[in-house]
Amino acid sequence: METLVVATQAADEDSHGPEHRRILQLCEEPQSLVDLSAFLKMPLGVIRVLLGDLLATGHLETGHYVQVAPTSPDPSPSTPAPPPAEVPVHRDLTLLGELLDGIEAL
Amino acid sequence: MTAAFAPNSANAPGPTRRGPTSVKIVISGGFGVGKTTMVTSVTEITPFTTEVPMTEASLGIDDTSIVGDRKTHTTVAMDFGRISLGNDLYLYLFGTPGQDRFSFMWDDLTTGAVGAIVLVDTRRLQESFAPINYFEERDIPFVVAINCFDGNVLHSPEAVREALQVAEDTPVMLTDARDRNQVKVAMASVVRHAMARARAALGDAG
Repeated sequence: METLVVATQAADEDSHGPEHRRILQLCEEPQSLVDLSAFLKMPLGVIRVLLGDLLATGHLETGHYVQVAPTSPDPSPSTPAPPPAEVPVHRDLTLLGELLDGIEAL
Repeated sequence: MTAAFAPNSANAPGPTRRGPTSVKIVISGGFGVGKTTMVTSVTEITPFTTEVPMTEASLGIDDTSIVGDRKTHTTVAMDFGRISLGNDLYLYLFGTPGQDRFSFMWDDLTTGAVGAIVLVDTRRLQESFAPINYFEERDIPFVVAINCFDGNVLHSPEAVREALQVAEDTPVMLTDARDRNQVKVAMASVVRHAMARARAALGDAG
């Protein structure tokens, strides 16, 4: 619901209707499902479908947060990095620290 | 190493954010306790609210006698607000619907939340039990914030803690939902509490 999406390409004049175009325009800045629903005055369910279309065609991408496993003290260039794993937000001390700093700086 | 995979700081292994990231804090509490006010106090966008005038249809369902004459609107479904914290980090605030009949929305609203603020009106403490139980059962970190309507504090935080039987480590504080700074303090408190819980959980695991 609050996952951010951002436009990666401009709308195609031919294949996109006004709603899709409007979403892509708004998504030049990161927007969430709820933001778009509010701006466009359309129900969440409708926005969800429209976003699904645009994500599928690669016109939008979602912001994401990944954990990169701690590197060894002397990382060897030949060792491939382990695949990133998702961390639950409420267990992620780095993100929480950043969040706390952000709130206190408001 | 390509730029796309470079960590934020060369010497800081660990979690790395890629792309814009959103986090959310849920604001909960009983009917008419001030959730919409709280979201409105800190959001930087016009808060999206599904607040509507209360109508005769809610007569006998939503009890306004207990919240005074000033409550003329109620939030149907939800509120949300957004705060940009810089560095591609966005904080979303979601107010849960006050009426019991929208409780099915709670799971959607709380999934992935950093934590929650349970707003409490000391005149109607009993309404706080449902949200508190909800967050306790799902192990979502929460703080209890007593909304001081017009500066009136009928019960001390200690008395409220006792009455609501919240855990020793759960922060209980006074707040004013209309005051931006006090809402900031409450939000910071949730995040600190979530961090303490996360540290404890990581300690247990290791």
